[in-house]
Amino acid sequence: MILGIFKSRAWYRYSSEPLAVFGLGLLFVIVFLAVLAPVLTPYPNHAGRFVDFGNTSRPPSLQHWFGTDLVGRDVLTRVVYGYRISLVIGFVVLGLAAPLGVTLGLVAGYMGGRFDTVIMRITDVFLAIPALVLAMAVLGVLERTLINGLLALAVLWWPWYTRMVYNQTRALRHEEFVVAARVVGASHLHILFREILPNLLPSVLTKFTLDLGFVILVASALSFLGLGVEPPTPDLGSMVAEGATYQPDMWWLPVFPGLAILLVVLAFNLVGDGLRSMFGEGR
Amino acid sequence: MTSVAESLVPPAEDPVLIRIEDLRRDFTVGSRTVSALAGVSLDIRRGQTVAVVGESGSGKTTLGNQILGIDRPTSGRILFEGREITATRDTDMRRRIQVVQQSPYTTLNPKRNLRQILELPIAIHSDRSRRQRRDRVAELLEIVGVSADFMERYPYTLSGGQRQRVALARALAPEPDVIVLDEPTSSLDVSVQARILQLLVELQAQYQLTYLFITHDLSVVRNIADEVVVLYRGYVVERGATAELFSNPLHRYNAMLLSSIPVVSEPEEALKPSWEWDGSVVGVEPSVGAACPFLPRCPHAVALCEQGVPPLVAETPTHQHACRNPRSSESAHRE
Repeated sequence: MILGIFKSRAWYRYSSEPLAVFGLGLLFVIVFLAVLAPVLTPYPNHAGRFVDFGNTSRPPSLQHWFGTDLVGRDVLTRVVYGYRISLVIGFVVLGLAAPLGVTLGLVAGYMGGRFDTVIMRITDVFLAIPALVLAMAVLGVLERTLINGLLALAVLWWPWYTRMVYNQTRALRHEEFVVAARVVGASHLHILFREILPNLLPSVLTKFTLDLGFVILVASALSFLGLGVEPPTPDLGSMVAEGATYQPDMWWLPVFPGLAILLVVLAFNLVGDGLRSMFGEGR
Repeated sequence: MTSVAESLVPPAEDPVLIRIEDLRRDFTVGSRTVSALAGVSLDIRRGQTVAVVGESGSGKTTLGNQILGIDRPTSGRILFEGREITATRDTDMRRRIQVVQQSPYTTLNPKRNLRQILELPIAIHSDRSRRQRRDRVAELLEIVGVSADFMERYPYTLSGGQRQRVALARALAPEPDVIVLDEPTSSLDVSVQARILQLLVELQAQYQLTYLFITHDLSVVRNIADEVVVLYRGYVVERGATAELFSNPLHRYNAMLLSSIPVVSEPEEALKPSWEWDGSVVGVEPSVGAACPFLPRCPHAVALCEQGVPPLVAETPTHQHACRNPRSSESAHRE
């Protein structure tokens, strides 16, 4: 059943891009590590409240491949646990933003008139505010918790889905199959979610994948600015920020989490590009 | 206008199924208002095939959309069995008027298989169980000549002709009285075209269907239409029983349309006007109600043509035209 995927047309087209296959492989490794972090990491207890002042700021060694941090925690362990948070942030943020944005875009594009005006002007306002500034403002007002951070990013992200879906819905609204569904007497709900949405899924899925990388990047940037996940939860952005203070002596502190961010963002981008060419869309 | 519409209908047992009264649909393009329909009146009688003919922009698809209820007129009325359906219609009214569209490539949703496509109208308009719906889909596919084994297939695996057959099955699914055929064969190969037309004729006889056949191609309607209505820029310029309209075109625009049909026999050739005509619409400004809409392209214009839009006048009880200098049977020989 699962192996059947490798015989499908879709896989054939996806696999014609070697980089996309590489990205997918990379992604599998990252997800595998994140999910099995308690089993795979050498010092799982270092992910929480743990201090070992006899073993602080050690450079990479056989015991600690990525070295140890300022309170003696294993950096490798914390990077792998950092992926957990990053992936959760990515999926939760987009899990909130994408359905909201897609639904609003569908309604505005299909219904037109007042729906169009109201929804799209609000969207424009959100799009006009620089993303990071908006997120910083939200986090400045609200308590600095993981939930609020996720909400701030979701608030920031939905307009992009609305805009994209709106434009495509406008193009599909007068397609003959939509007209045919209206003539037959189908409800708006049916037309929006059963007739139009399936035709938009390829581009929504592609954007979703690409955005997972970007959301992780922005979340890291917010953490770097001190607005992200609170310690001691291991977070890649915060780790880079902490390590940045002690340069160039303790290079391993920011470099490994930095590389980890690079790899996950790269993986999502390569997969996203692969999906885009698989669905046959131009740039 | 209404008197004209009535005079066309000889007192017959045929009741009027759809009556269209002075239908007008204006679109705003920039600062200008364009009338896609400039006051069209029309009767469609039960069991008949009425062909609406005209070039792109003549308003023929707009007319179809009004009847289907997916667009509303600026003014005028549409009556179905005497009931007004211009502004609103209930589910059962929707059921009774269906459509087959032009493009076999966009008329079926590429993301839905044939069963899903055909079950939709059945689910909306009947309370059949899942099982019964499935049987009905199989039955519909067989009716239009597509194997029921194709039920789980997606449109991309079908040929253009097969897709149009499925579109026809979808139109038949709610058991309608009227089907608006909006250029149903114009994107198909000639051989496929003929078979679809044959199927349409058979289905009409079997299910007592009424057709509104929209097309730009007069040759297609020649054998299947009872009545032909020629539209030009939103005006009815000529209408009549098919045989009369073909053998004795009166309006110059209709004569032009007929001359564009390739012919094989000499009597047909003799009907063609000798004058050359310019088929291009580019740069021809539409006249704005002050003169005959066809004036800018008409080689036979007289002074009278500039004085208002010509009204429809009856040549015979079943043949009307709106031309101030019509092509008469005698002049055909002089030309």
